[in-house]
Amino acid sequence: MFKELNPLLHSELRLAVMSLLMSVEEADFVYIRQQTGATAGNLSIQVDKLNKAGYVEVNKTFKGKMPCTTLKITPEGIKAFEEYVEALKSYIVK
Amino acid sequence: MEKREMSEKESLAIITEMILKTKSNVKNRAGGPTLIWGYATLITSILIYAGWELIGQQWIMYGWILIPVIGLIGMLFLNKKEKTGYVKTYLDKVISYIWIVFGVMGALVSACAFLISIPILFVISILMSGGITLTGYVTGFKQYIYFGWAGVLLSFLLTVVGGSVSVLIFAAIFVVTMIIPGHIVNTIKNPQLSESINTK
Repeated sequence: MFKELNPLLHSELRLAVMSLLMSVEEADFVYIRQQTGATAGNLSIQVDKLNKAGYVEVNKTFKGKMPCTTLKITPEGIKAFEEYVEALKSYIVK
Repeated sequence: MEKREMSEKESLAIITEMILKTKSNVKNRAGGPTLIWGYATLITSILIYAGWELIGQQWIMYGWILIPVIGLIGMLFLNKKEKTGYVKTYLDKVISYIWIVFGVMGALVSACAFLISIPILFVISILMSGGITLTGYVTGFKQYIYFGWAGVLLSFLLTVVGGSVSVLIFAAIFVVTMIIPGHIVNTIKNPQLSESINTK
């Protein structure tokens, strides 16, 4: 039986953001944008959705005079990502 | 990346691609800190040696405080240089903890050396060489492992050599454990540079 894929994670950009954040302790917005190749506007919208779902923690600080937005995956985000991967397995593994 | 319907295989491909990208990031930022601390120690040691030889006063030894001063200023500059694309991996976190422990131990032993007689140069060089070796095992940089172990072995010279020469040996150990591997690792991180060196 196929498990349902979390629609919030089953999106190319949001999944890419979550995959990056799963592999690191924390990363800033610029790093995520560079790695995903997304536009700042689109990325901002998708990060906001993940933040509202409680999957990603967003911290806005300053590095010198430059604003710096740091992203970190939350325990809820880790759980959701693991469940998503488990659900993916049911589609791929026979 | 565009908003569209993904297949399950595409999902897996994205996850794999992103995880690989964070792994390659670790290899791109490895030589800087070792070069900063290596050069901080080398410069300070040369100044201490020159002061010892020329002035010969005990207060010259307070000059060792220059190592953390130069090192911390250098680290601040290094962090400022990374204005964009900041990322902290779990490996970065492990390496930070290693160096916090070794750094605090080094600082405490150094502070004690002003009060009681201990072979401070030997203790510091073996501690830092050990830290470099451990960093090499954790990051997979063989240069740090080999040069780190070489530093550990060379440190024992400081148990038999004394006087101002011991300061030069101390400096040489830091050249071996930090400066040489730091430069090699920095060459590796830039594929174009390492390619141009190999083809010359």
